[in-house]
Amino acid sequence: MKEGHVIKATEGTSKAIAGLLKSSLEKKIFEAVLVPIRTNKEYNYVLTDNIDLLNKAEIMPPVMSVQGGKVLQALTRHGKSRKIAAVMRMCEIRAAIELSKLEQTDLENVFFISVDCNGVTPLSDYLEDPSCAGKKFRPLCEICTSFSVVGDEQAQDVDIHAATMGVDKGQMLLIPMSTDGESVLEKLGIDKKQDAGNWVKQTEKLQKQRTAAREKALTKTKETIKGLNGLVEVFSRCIECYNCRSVCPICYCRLCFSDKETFRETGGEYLDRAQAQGVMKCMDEVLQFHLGRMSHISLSCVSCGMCEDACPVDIPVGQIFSVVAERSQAIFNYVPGKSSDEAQPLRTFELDELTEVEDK
Amino acid sequence: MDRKIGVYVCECGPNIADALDIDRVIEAVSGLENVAVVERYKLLCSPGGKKYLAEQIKEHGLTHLVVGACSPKQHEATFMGVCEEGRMNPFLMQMANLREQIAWITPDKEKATERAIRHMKAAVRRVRYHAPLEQKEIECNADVLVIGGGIAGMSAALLLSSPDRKVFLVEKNTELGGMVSRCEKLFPDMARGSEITESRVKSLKEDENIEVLTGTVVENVLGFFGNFVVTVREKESEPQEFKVGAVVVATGADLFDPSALAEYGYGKIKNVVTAPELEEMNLKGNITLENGNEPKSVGIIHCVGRKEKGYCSEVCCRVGMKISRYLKEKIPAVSITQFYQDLCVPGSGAQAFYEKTRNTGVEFVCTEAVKLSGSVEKIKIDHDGKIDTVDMVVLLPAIEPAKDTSEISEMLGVEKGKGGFLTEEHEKIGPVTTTVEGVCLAGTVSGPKTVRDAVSQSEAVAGKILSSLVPGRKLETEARTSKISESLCTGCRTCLTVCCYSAIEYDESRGVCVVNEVLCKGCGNCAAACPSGAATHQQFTPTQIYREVIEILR
Amino acid sequence: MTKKQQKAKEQVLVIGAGMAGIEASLTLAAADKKVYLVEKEPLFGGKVIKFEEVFANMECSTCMAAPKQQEVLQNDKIELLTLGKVKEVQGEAGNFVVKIEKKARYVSLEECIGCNECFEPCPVSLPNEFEENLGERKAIYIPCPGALPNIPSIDTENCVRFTKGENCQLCKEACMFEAIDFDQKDEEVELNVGAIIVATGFDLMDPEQISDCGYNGKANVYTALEMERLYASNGPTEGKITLRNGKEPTSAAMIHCIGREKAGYCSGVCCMYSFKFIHYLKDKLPEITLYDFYSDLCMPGKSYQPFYEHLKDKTESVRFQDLKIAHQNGKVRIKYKSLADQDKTLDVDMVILAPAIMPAKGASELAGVLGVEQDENGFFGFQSSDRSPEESGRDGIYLAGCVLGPEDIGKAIAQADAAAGKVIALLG
Repeated sequence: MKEGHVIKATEGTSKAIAGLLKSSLEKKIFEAVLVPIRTNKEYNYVLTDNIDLLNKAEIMPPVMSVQGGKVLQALTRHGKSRKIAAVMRMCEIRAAIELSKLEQTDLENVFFISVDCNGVTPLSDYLEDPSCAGKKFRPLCEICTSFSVVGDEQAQDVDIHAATMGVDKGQMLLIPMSTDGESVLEKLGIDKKQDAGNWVKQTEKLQKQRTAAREKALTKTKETIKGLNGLVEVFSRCIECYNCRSVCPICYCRLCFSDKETFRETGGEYLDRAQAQGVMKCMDEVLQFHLGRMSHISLSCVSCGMCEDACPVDIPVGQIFSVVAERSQAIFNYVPGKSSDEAQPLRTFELDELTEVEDK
Repeated sequence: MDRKIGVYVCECGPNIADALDIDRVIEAVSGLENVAVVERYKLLCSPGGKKYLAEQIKEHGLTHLVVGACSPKQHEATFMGVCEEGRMNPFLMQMANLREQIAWITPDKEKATERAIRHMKAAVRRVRYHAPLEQKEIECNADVLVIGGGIAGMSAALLLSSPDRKVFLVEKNTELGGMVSRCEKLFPDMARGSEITESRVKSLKEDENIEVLTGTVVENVLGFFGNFVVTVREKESEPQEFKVGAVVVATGADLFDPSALAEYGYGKIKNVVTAPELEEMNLKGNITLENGNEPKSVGIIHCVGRKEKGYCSEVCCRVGMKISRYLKEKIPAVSITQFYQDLCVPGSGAQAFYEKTRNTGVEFVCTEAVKLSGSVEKIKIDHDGKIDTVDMVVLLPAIEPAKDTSEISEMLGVEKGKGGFLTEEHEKIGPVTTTVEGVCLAGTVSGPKTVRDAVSQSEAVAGKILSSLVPGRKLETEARTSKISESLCTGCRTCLTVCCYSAIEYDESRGVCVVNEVLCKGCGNCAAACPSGAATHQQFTPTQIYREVIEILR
Repeated sequence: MTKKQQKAKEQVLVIGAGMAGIEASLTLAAADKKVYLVEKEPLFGGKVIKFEEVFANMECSTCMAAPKQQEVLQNDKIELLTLGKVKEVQGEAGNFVVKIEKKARYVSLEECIGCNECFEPCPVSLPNEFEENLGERKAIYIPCPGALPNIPSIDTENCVRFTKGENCQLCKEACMFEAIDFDQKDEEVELNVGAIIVATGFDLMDPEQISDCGYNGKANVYTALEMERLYASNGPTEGKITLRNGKEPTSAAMIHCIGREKAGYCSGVCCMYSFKFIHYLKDKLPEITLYDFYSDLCMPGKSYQPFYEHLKDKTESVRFQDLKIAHQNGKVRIKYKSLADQDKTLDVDMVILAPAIMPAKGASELAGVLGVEQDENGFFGFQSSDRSPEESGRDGIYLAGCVLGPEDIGKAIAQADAAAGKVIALLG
């Protein structure tokens, strides 16, 4: 990735990429594109082949009102789409790839364009004061290490990456990441190449900084959830609205375990419990929900922070889940969303795995 | 629902009665929801005890039963039988193991009583959520498909044949007989080889219950045990379809190609042949060199390809000895040396065969490695530094899986295992069955073996099929199977990847997975693996387990 | 056909309730045959239940056998007759009349619950044959923990009531279920069956009959079955490997091919179980130095050599000709000739012998009773490739397992199902 294809970006990243998408629609390289569009004060993903509409496109909007992975799930779950291009943040692409392993997205006809990401502003902050866009970021964004195509989380299914960091103002470098990506750039006639050394330097530098910051921050978070008391404390103000679950791209179950009859006891059973304990808080299912969800999704968590963004009572649920996710993913050396070829650990059996727990 | 749970604690003599305070257990359980009666009894598994329980069920109109006694392994079947006697669904019964899991391992009576109370409460809580499962009966077809017309396939077909059961024997070549028909004689008694297959072929052709289809391949096998639909095709003709209840795979194996190993010079040095090539010469009547002369000295090399394959093919040592007998019969003055790594002669007659062979003047040399080189009309055999020169070399190659093993594996859903051969259900106690019920293996398709063992396996397959697929008898299915909720299934197919019985299918049109209740063995893998909780084991639902565990931990 | 003959066709006799006999019985019962499963011992399961683990998957042996045993006990169509011996066989295929001598157990199968309370008071102690004489038992006994049926029997050759005519009632007094009944009598049971399957298994060659193998029952030279009982978690030492003096061995040698020359054949499974012992010994004593003496490695089949490859680093493999074992200063001295004809000596703490597998004791007598062929080594049936291994030479009588030659468990099970298949095809 030492060099990239140069395009003009004198009017900014968004216009540049929108221009690219317009050409590709004109040249019938794609049948439609999936991009965020600005309407009034909101940003929504649209699937469109309308070139004029792309004038309203806002690539890399300051807020993430819906996780791109969830959008792709809705669009492709019941069958492949026709050839479309999707412009998304790395965490959204990774979520989509992770979902493909569970047959919830079909990415065969999806062409991914990723962009260097500075982060996303929390929704509540943005709604209160739109001017903080681009200045205030989600706590997880501040320690994100998958903001570009550098590092271990690099999503290998990306087709073109738009490099903006460390690139001369007024320009953008398009880096083809796959043979599909190369062929599209060729069809678009974008062949002027330029050295990307500066971008590589910049992104690697930021990667180092972020990695250190992430370790520090998550270590701190880990302290707060040590032991049962820590967990109870941290989740004490949870109102069980299930927002975190609703916005999470990985949570796609039709009926969550926490909504099932399994844990619903009869009045008599509750009273028996209360009698045995002396007192029983009604209803005491908060930890059961969060710990259960943690055990279900932690291998696939891409640390996007949607959950934390959506939490109405400001629980740092994204950071907490990221702590657990990192540890469980490390056990299997698994990076969620990195490659659609890498099967999920709990779906596959390897003879020589987890040997540390074996009887020797 | 008006549940009436009957709870009975067995004293098991002094075993339980002396180890814990049964009356306190009874007291603790009496007040629980839906409990209609709680009693103790001296020995519930005795004829008297069983009668008592059955009467209790009828007397109190019990809907569920909890028995605190010994291990379910010992008496679950007994008490399920009692339920049936009392005309209660046997799956609405739960046992609590108070003996092996409490009385026998908890010396402190107070602790034991406390544990027993927890376990009994847990069983009572759990049983309320049991469902009245039913064992189903399905019609089945008793006919059998045998794939492969070698000695194993033919033996299986002959033993299976009967007037009320048709056997379809499908062979891809135009002739039946397989490998054995290409051998003049077989070890250890040098009895007829090709004649054995000829006599079987004759019996097959005369047997009205067996339909022999040569020059035919099996294209597809759909369905499940008792209800397979098979498609076969003879060369260019139209495919033929028929129904069977079981499939026997007797497709044999191939031999390792020694041309892959430079040290044997196969295909490069003159007069280096493989064992089957020598068998062919022998069957035709003369064993000669390429120039037409008889060989005066022969080297027989064992273990060709053994290192590459990583296993010993069992028969080659004895095949080598048999070949030396052929040679001695036809060319009495020939000098023969056999080069081996380990002599494999297991069993009652094998060593005697070896000794007799040695007594005919055959030399046996133990050597680690052998390298052949050609020199004019002779062959030099370099073994551990020493050189022997011979006219002809016979290589004994390893037995390896047949080339179409992957196709057969996929078509039938039988996994490939050690050595790349199709894998049997269990190395020790399931040598001929597979994890796909109704599909059995016989002969070298599952690994190298002697003709004797191949015949044994084919008859074993017949035994299994004769006893499980009886004409006119319906198949009883396991009642405690898994179920997948259509509304909760997201079609992720994780269950498919963990089911070893090919009991789950993905329904494309509905985008969900479905359990085949006939094939499901109730192992619970799918229920454990399902990320969405759509798959549940009917006798181990999350609700049942949760209730049980909550009471134990309270 | 008479009613009796018709009934005979529905019934089968299986002699020997080891793994092969159990498998044959279950397959026959599934085909709706009534099976009489006769076993000479008071417990069933054969040799396999003496092992802790089986090669090559190193699965727990009793975990593998127990579910099959339970199936036999709970199957209405199978009648297990322990302490039974076949005395006479008349008739022909389709209609055999068999006389079985069934010794009295003196304990009621219905009343006894297996609490084991009757053992302690018994005044007679003697070496326990099941434990290969490494442990003791009483005259009223269950051969090992976990034995099935879990019901004791009284050994009339050692119980003082029978040997000395004393009126000892100590066991009966200790029983709370009135399960002990001294009035039980030996019975003669007559059965009418359509076919017979012989699965009487094997015994190891008596090492005391083999010269120069150093075995005297007192020194640190053990047979394979003794090793199995030492390692067994339900055995006399509960799995602890020690020398006769209680100390742990620092070195041990497995010696293959003991008695092979005398027997005249290779027993086929000893190389594999010797490797299994390597696994056993290294598991309990990680620091032990191991030697494996063999003449040829016999590991046929797709999974056996990989098993060896996996274990060979844990031992020194020594190829020998002419081996002699003696004792020297508390050690076991192995004198042997290497393949290069050099004379060598090795001293070790412990030696485990792999003796030849022979037809079970009493086999020749049984062959006579059944009227079946024996080969030159005493195994039943024929070695020819022209015949199925299960053929005995007499119509209606079939063979399975080590009675027809040394076999591994997988082959024995296949033979059992094959024999059952032949019976079902015969009787219809």
